[in-house]
Amino acid sequence: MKKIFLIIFLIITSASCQWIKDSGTPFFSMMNIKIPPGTPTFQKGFRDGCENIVYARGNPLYRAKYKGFRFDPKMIGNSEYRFGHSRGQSFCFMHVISNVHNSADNYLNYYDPTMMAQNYNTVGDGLFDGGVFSQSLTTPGNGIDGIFDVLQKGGGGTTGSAFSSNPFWAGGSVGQFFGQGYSGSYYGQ
Amino acid sequence: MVNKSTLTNLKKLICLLILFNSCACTKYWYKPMGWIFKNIPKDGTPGYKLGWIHGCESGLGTQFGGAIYQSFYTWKRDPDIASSNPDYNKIRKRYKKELKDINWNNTAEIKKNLNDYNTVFWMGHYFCRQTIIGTLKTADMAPPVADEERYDPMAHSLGNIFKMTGIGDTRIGTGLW
Repeated sequence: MKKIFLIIFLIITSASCQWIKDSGTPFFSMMNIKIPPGTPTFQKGFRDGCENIVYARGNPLYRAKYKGFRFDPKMIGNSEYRFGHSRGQSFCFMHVISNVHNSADNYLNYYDPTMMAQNYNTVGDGLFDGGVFSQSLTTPGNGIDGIFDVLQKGGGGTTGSAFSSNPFWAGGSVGQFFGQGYSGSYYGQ
Repeated sequence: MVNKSTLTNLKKLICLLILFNSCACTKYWYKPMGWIFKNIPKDGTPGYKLGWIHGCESGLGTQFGGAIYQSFYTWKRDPDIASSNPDYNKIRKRYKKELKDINWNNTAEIKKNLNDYNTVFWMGHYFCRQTIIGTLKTADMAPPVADEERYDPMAHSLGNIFKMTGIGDTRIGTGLW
């Protein structure tokens, strides 16, 4: 039985032989990012660009590992280096922002010295309990309706803005949006 | 009433703070995140270094940094250096100290430095802008949208960057790194 498992395991792992072919490929530590094939100049650019953004958007662990800004002044006129740099920067940006998350215990109340887990309804300014989803849809100035206040009144809450009326209610109950007028005669009135 | 020993301790603390801060040895050691200017590459041309500093200041002064950083930093790109027909004399006089190592009789060298400035400006801008947003996100602080309240002491405290549950959580097995 063990032999069968071993054979299956070997078949699966060696099926593409990718791990043998890529065994010498340099990886970014803690990132599992491969430096793509290319000329040494391109690869240097890619590595520098990647290091830039991994430092900038990574958490303190990455900041301890990587050294910060990297753009070789001697290579500034080298378009291949610059190309690699920009590619490394954008590729690693997507990687680092998708991999560094909030912690799982984010819903613990930081300001509560007992660090007890909070009611899900009341965290995040009470999204469901006292927040926008808990309030009446139809009460002016509250809940979802209140979100549109800023469109109507501007950021200051008092002055006019691009929308003079609430897009929710703008057309009355006949389906218009953004307050465009309608011909009464269309409805036979 | 504050007693004498408290005052002495306070003085010691202030001295230590000044000492620690001055150890940073950067141009903007007194500003928030002044340490970031230590990232400037040492072997760049004078134009490269100036462009990086201006870019970084401009990056930190964007809305990504929020009201606090915007009070310390702002847009710094020099319009004369960025111009397609730069006035060399004007630039030389403006940056006597920063660009003193340029041979102003050598047009090729001047052009190289100004080109470096313009190229590196955006590199520094991008790097510093991303670093500030990265730092603030460790405290779950997203960039404020326009006209949002400027300062909320509960949510925007600078001390929040030490909060353990933000994006920067490095405790093993909690932040997924």
